Amino acid sequence: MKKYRIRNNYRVYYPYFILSFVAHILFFFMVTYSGSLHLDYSQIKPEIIDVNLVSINDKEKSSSTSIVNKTQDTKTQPSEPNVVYEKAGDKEKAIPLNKKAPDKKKRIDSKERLKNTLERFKTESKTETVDYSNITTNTAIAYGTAKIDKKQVLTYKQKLAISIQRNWVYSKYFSKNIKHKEVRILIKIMPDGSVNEIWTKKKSGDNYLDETAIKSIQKSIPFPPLPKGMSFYNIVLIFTPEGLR
Amino acid sequence: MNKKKLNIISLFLFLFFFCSKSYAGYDYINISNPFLNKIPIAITSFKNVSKDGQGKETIKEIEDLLHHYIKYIGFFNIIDKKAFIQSDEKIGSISSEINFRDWSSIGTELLLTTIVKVDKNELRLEFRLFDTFKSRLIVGKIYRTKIANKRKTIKTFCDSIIKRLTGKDSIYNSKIAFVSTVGKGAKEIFVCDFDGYAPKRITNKNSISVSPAWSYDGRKLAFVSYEKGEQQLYIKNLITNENSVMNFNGITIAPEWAKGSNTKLATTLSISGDQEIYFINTSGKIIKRLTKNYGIDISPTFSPSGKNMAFVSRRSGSPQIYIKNLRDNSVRRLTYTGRYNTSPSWSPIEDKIVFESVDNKKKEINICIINADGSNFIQLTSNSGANEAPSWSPDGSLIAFASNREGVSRIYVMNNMGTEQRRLLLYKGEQTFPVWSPANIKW
Repeated sequence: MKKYRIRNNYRVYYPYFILSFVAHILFFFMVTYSGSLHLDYSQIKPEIIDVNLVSINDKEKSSSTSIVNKTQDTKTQPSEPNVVYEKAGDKEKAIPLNKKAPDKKKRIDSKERLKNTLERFKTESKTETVDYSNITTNTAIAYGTAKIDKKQVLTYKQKLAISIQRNWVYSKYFSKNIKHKEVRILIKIMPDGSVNEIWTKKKSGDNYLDETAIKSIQKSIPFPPLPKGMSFYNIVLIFTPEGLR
Repeated sequence: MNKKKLNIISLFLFLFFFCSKSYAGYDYINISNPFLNKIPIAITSFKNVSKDGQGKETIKEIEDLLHHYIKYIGFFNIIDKKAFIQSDEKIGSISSEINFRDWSSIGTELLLTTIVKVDKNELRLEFRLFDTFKSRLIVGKIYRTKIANKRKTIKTFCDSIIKRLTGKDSIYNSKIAFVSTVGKGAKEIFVCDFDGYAPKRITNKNSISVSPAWSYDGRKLAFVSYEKGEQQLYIKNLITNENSVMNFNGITIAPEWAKGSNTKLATTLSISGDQEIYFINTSGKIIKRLTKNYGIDISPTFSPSGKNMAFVSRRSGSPQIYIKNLRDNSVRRLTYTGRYNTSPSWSPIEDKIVFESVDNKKKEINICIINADGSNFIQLTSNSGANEAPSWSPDGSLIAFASNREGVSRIYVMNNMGTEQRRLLLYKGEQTFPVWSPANIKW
């Protein structure tokens, strides 16, 4: 290690000191004069006094999006979704995201209609989803049990897509200007149609889009109850605002 | 070493298989078409905390004004008060009083509450805008002002909402210049607020003044006037009321300021015999000639970056819109539909051009929009007579235009999809040639 010697010869620094002193005084004068020249009297007494409010008591009251709606006893009665609905209805004050369950009759009607449309879809082309038929879905992870009618699952998917899309509000003026953005959100649906988990799997880079996607899911909860036999349903929703011109 | 490598490889292999399995473990739904594009907002009734409940009329006025401003720009959908879960008196105004579930469950994403206090001439307004899903305050403002300033105060607040939500300037502080007939055959230039409020006469020449154009800072207005029998280019400073006049031999038409400039204009002159577009400065000196072709070239408008210029040219016979790249001076034709296409206006935020198109068969003039690359041609008006002179709002969301759908020519505003067409203002005489100013006008 080298040792540096400190010189005691202060005279060397005199010119620097004087220069700095003069510069400081000059700067001081400049600031004061330029300030007085550009003094805007309208700014002293403005027409409108404008105060910004900052929230103090809004500390993450219920902003968690990861766990939206926890109904504990959902796994116990997968075969009787209606009972669970009633229970959820009782808790409506505590968990207001549980909206009223749709009428059973209506549900049956829509099921029939959806079955018809499904057949039409089969003949026509692939439905709203990307063609993931090449990927062998691990049904154990997706629905819990492997023995489920694929038709039913497809109808259910259709219902989900419609209800979420209907609740999706998105304005391009609030979003960042990024090309080809998409957000992927994973949700876990319980047999009664409640949602156990909302997890942003892949962000789009635009906070606004991510938020609207989550809001659209929150608005459409609860979903229709799962087809019989499914103990849960993991599904990834891919939001791409391409429908906008 | 070998063992280590093997370990790493096996780890990667394991991860690879594991990942691929978990990837396939979900079902997928593609959602690509947002159902709504207006954000639902709930505006609660104003909470009056003034002494003896005075100023009820003022408060009603302010409330109506707030609704009008929020609705006008077309970003929000105001939720009907009948849908509110709680009655008016029970609704809280500050976050500790608000049950956000009540609001998110009716589908509103934003909640705006106001506490107002009127004390003789003084006004105290307390605005709070909440995100109902996150239970969070987004914008909170307190304003103290005189009652006479209520319009400006609410504009300031609405502007701060938009700035907070979009990160961009709103149109609340913008103005619209237009031409209106006055008396016998005279045409004068007027300026009004973005919503048609308070039209103010700018010129007083008792002759024909047309083609207003705003400078980048919104302080200067360029226009063409026939005051002395021939066309002269005027630049009026709207703050000091100073006029500067430029006289070029021959024709002067349709001035437009260069993008982001307060000193440079593009205008059509006929000094070479033919009508060509030139860049000039505010003292009337020609900086550069922009077009050089047989046939008239008029109505320049610039892209947001300022690199491209759209203009109308007759080089192929009928007037059509062309785009010139100002870097490499290449020119390409943009429009092919209709008999002729004129009055282009380039969006201030994206590469879209709005223009008027004259139809061959129907004998009507319509506003159309097209991407700068020639794709996505959309006709915005139809079956409504002559719709002319479109001009973009500074945020690119609205379009002002003149139309004679009610018999006399008036100014209308629509959003950039052609919906929500409404009249801007009712004023005596005939109004034409609306030109929207830049976003932030401070006078």
